[in-house]
Amino acid sequence: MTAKDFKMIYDLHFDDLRRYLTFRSRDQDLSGDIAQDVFMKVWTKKIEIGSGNIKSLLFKMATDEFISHTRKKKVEKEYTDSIDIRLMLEPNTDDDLSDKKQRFEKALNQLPEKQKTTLMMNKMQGLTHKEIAEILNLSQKAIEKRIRLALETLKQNLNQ
Amino acid sequence: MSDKKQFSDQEINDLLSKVEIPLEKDKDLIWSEKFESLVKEDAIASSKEPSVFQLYWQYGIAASFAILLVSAFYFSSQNNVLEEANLLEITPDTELDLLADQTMIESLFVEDNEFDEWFEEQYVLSSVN
Repeated sequence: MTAKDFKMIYDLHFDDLRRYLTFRSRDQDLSGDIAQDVFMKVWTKKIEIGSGNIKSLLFKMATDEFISHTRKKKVEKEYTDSIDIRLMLEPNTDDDLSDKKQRFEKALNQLPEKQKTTLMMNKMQGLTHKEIAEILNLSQKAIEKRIRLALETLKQNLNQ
Repeated sequence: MSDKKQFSDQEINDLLSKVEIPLEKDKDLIWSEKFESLVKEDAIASSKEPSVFQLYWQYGIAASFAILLVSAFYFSSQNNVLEEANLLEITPDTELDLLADQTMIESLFVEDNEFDEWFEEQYVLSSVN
């Protein structure tokens, strides 16, 4: 892998990886550290871009690092209310839209952790069901089911 | 009945695509702090390293050609030697010549008083053979 390739991968995926790690760990510093470790490994091991799906590989490496970290630190927190997920909407004075935005953020944060993670990976980060299955070591069917359930729960939360 | 507006599936999908997680530190800043120098150092180090693989690769090709050439010369010269040996196979004429030479040399060691007798003997032997 050349320095140019590495920079290209970094520019394309570093922030996505940090966002993914942030909504899993709820910790900006930790997610930044893990994302840097992942990229450090990619560079030092000279992982080739052509060797499969690099995005999946990065997310898989990040997931493994995150799990390893939580196991080491025995961080088994119940993440419930500290997530900082926001909607990027055009600034406006529309009260209706502002209300919807707040309701949506609240409903999203109320989703069970596993459903939220899978849904965010799919909708926010554009990972396919197959890619998510590989990253989380689950079957594609399980991912499809989780996403379907997440959407149903989200809709219920929103329309309560 | 609640006066809240209901969300359609399309609306939910649209909102999901706009979800953002704000990041505190800019990625370019992290790059310049953590990776830029590392990548540059590695690039410099790798440019200084002799390309061992290429060196062996070139020498390997050269050695293979050398072995092929030497083998070709060796076997062709061996064939020539064999051909020459075949050509030098003793013919009846040369056999007689050799015998004459041998007789001439032996005659040097024969005493004068024994020469007639020895000559007669050799003559008989050559006639018989």
